[in-house]
Amino acid sequence: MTLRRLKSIALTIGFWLLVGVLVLYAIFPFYYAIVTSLKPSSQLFEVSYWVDSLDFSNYVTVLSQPTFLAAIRNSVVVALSVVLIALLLGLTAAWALGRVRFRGRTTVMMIVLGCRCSPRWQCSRAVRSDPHARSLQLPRRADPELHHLHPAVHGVDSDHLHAPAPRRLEEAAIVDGASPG
Amino acid sequence: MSLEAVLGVIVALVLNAHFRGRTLVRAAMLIPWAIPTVVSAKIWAWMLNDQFGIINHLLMALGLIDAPLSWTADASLSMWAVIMVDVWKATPFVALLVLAALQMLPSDCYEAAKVDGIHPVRVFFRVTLPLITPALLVAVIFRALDALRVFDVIYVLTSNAASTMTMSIYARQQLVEFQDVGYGSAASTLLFMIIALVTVVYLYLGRRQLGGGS
Repeated sequence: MTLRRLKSIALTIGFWLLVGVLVLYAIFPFYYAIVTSLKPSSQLFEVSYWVDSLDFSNYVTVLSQPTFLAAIRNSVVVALSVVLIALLLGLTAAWALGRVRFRGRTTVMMIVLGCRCSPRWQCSRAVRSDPHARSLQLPRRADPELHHLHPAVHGVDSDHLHAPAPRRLEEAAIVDGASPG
Repeated sequence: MSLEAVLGVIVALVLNAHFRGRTLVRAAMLIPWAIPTVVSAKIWAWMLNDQFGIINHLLMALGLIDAPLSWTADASLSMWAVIMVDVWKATPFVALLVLAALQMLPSDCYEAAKVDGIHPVRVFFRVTLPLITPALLVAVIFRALDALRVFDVIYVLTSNAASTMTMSIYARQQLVEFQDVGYGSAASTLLFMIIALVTVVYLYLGRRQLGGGS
């Protein structure tokens, strides 16, 4: 066996070892949560690396709780609303900040980035505790997701992260009579 | 944050390679980011439990420790515990941003380097790393902002322990537990200003470095 072949085999083994370690590191806590969920309460304080016996009583209990089902419904409502509103605000704000030249654009971008500087719990607490902001109040269940509503936070970095969308296409479309908006 | 950046780049390089089962590995690497922070912190708290935790059990089985360690109660260990959990949680975010940058790199640079017989490690440091630096800077600044105001992971793992208390936890304690709204608001505002200052300095230095490089 040649030295090159040996080196190639060693590299392949090393690569797969690295993949294995990374996957184990990423999924082990999730795997351990599944293992724990499949144990009866009496065995909860015994450490086990594998699923010794399948006990679905915890799942049955959870699924029979009406509050859990209501929580799933609330999560879906919050997730859909957040995605739609954040997309609407993010896309329009990113387009305005990226394509429209106006005085104070940098300041606006810094303010948008500044939204990410404040603690999340502080934002939700401010809305809840301010008696003059009653009309702004969101349902209590929406609080954990409130930070996603910060406008266009994810649009600020587009110049660095992604290749900018070609302006030539837009200019050609405008020449052909399309409106800039 | 530095650990997340290094690990994130390694994970992104692995995910960018072509191998059988790559899609599954990509999905697996996203799990830490997909689990809600409070849930994952609670899972880690259970794994790090000094009496019934699997981490102590594993380390003792391997002979690395003689007695169980109080990962979240011992002041000398708790900081490392929360860093480990936060790195686990945030590495996929950095990896995703770097992976997006890796997938947009021009292939001709690599073909030229291959023709010239340049060693892959040298190619990484001379070609790949400079080209992904802008994306890495974005990932680092977003992680810096999140890490400076970190709250949930630490609050679940160590509550208000002084050894791991961050600015957010201190401000929350004053504002919510002690009901000292004025003092707590001042602490929160200072936290905001410190993070904003760090951001401005980072952006300035980042732009200077990128400008100097080009």
